[in-house]
Amino acid sequence: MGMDKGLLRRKDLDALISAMRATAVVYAPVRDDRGSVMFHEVDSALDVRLDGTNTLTSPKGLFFPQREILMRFSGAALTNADLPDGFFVVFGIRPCDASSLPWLDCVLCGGEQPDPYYQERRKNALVIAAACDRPGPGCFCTSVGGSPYGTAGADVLMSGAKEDDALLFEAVTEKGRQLLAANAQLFSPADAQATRGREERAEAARRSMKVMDLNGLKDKLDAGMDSPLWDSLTRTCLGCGVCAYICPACHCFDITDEKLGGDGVRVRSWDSCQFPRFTLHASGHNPRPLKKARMRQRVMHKFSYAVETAGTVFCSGCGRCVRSCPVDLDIRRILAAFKDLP
Amino acid sequence: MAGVAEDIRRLAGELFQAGKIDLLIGFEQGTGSYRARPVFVESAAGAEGLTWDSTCSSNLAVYLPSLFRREPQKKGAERALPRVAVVAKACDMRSLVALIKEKQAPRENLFIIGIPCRGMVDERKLAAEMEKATGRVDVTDLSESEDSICATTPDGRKVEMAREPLVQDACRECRFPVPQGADATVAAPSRPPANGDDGAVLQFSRRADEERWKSFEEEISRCIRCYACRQACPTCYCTECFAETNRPAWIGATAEITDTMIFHIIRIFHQAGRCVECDACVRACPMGIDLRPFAGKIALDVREMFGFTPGFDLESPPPLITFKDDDRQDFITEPHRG
Amino acid sequence: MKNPYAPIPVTIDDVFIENEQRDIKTFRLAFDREEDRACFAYLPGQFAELSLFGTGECPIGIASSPTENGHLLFSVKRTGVVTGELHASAPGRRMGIRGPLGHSFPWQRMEGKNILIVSGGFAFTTLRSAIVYMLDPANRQRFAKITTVYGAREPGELLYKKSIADWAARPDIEFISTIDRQKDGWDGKVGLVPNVVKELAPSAENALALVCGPPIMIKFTIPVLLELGFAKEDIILSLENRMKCGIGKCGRCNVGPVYVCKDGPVFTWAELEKLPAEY
Repeated sequence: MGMDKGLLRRKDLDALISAMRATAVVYAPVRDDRGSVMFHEVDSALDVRLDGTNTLTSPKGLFFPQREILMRFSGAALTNADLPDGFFVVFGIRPCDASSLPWLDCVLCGGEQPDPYYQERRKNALVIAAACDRPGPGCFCTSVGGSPYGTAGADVLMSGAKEDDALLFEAVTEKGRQLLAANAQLFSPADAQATRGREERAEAARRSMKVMDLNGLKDKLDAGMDSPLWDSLTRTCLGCGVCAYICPACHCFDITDEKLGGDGVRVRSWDSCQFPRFTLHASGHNPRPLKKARMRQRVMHKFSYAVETAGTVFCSGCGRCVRSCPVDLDIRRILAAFKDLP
Repeated sequence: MAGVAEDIRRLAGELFQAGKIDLLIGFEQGTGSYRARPVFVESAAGAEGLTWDSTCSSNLAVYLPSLFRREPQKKGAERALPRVAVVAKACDMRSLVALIKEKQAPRENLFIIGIPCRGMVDERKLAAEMEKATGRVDVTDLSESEDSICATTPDGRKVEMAREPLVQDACRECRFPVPQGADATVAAPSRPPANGDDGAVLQFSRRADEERWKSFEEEISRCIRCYACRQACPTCYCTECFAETNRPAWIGATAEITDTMIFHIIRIFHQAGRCVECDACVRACPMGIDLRPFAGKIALDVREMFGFTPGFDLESPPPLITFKDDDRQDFITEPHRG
Repeated sequence: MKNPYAPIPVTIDDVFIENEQRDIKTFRLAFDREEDRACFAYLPGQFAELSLFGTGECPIGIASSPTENGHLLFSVKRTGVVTGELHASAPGRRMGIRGPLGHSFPWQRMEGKNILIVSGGFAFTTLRSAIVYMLDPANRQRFAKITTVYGAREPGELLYKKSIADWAARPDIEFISTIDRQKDGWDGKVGLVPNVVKELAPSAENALALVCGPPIMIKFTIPVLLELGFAKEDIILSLENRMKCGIGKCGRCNVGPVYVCKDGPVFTWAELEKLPAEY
């Protein structure tokens, strides 16, 4: 018995968060003491930032942490690390970040051997997305099949309503419907005006972004593996891991052992195809010895290989890689350059 | 700043036309025209996009070691080393001197274009001001005058801010804003040098040991091990970094706090006598970690213990790779004495 | 909870030094638990991740054949951290394996065909598995003529010396060992593998070629096979790449859109030709 949608007055957001906290930890975007907006655990709606520019890092770390213990060993005896437990709510995630969760699912939960740690976190989470009314100048979700009011990966989509006095909650999944129903007393019915208003806001948000026409990009990329553009467009790349680590869709990881005496752990941690040692064989041979090959891999993985294997580009257009790149290397420039090739 | 940019473009054009250089590393307008970004230019035509403003904060010396790295070559078909022009602020110049001394770039292959500096705008300070003024950090355009910075928001609003408070702390405490030893120095205003009293590094160094450690741990707890600090640093050019070797594995690969603290400690100690406090590491860090007190503390120690500030003198050997018979040894025999 | 990263416990049963340089050893591993042995169903061509707790894992082709009563053989060259630690290990050491991983040689396609095996150096390991499998009385009649050209720099570097001597003497397989340059005491064939194949000129009629060797050998063998009339889909290769998870998740071993671990390591030349040479 779920509920499809409802209106919540902004001043009742606190009550909703409290109600959710009865059974789950709630993470939401808050400004920290450094002035960066990041996802942190919250106990009230007080500091939650639902508007403003997107969080500094994507919330993928809530599902796929930088460091995760996979197993413990003592001598030759092995125990699996405990599955993460506890429900949590990711409150106020943007549609761009939410849209990459199904892609992470595809890789990490796909095949016959799903990653149980990632999978458990996904199972334990409720994703409440906040629609984006003011996409930033670096955002380009609509150029990669996304939308500031997109619902992919979300259980509920929230958007401003009634002159911003209220929030319209729309359930996307059954989990979302259950959440709304469980807190029905906080919601009033979403009338036709609210729905129409939402459509108008969505349209305005979409229109506010310039759309890059990336039709046919994959074919151009596939044909351009040897293009000198890979060299000329990547020369200033520093070869750090910022773009991969800050990206909501990047998921490459390393597995290493750490031990003290005979005891230790095997851990999974973030890795980046931009590091030279990512593909380095023990023999010393490196299939991607040059920086341009590594940046090419990043772009090809997201805009060609993923299309072939998962049916979608692995880029949500969140713009973080552009914003946070120490040398302002803009992936959109690379895409445009290849798109424009004859 | 327009005059400076014009001068750079003209000089670049002349150098290319005279066939004196193969490559010029400078700045061009970046994404969304609110900041500049490094650019590699290989012709006079390419030089027309060169720019100069208060967002040209990257230390371009970082690109040199890989340009001059000696790879195995076929006999008879040896590649000549490139002749490279680099646009350099005073801090960048000092990094260049350090690299030249360490044989990472041959002086005779470099044409250094020195630019006196008024200090660069701190992107985070700008974002904080924009947030206060507009509720968002988004900027689509930035222009400047002598005393102010004007930012344009996506909806066309113009926000005027005083320039000096937006300048990076490292720049505000910069003791050497005019590059020395360049091949050509463009006429540009520079800020008065700070006198070195009571900057953030000195303040940090005066705190008690436990406080400094706690502060370091807190700051480093934000680290995600992306290595942007290392990659942005001109004097971090090892092709095999201690942080990533596995024979032996000196530190763990994850962002576990003790491994991460050791990474930063060792990296910063490796910079002793070489770090020019250009703040490239601070600016590159996506998490906003303030590494300056720590790197600066090491630089301060080297100044005090060896009387050496890196980056001025091509002749004097870096203190940490030289050995003199009368060097102190009591730090080994009596480590707890002052 | 099924943890795909958790290895199955095994113990080193025996260690055999394969080559004169003493940097290739064959490890015989025994499963600690009978139920693990019973479900470890593999076919020649597949690999496993060998796991040393506290050190790490390395992906190694399975050298034993499933017809060889339940123990596993892995021939490992000492190269890096994990292989180094493995080489320093003695029988009795407990360790782990994850597998079987990857796709095997295309056994369904190989039914009824003439099989040409071309190999060099220590890439021969999974081909040992293939040969033992095919020669097993239960399987031999499924395949037609089996021809093998296996080369090494010097006689001391050939693997499985006893086995290849036995095979050379058998009537149901033509087994030619070759070394790069004449050496005292060697009265077998001398010549680089691609040249020996060219000279042998095996028929491409109803044939499939399994080619495993160092990149340089592969580079020069493929044109020979194409000239002999082998179709690109009938030239089967096995790739190596740096791996971690071995199950297509960590993103490290991809060659274009395919992962060497889960889509390979076996690929046809027709497939490989279309992929970027990032391996």
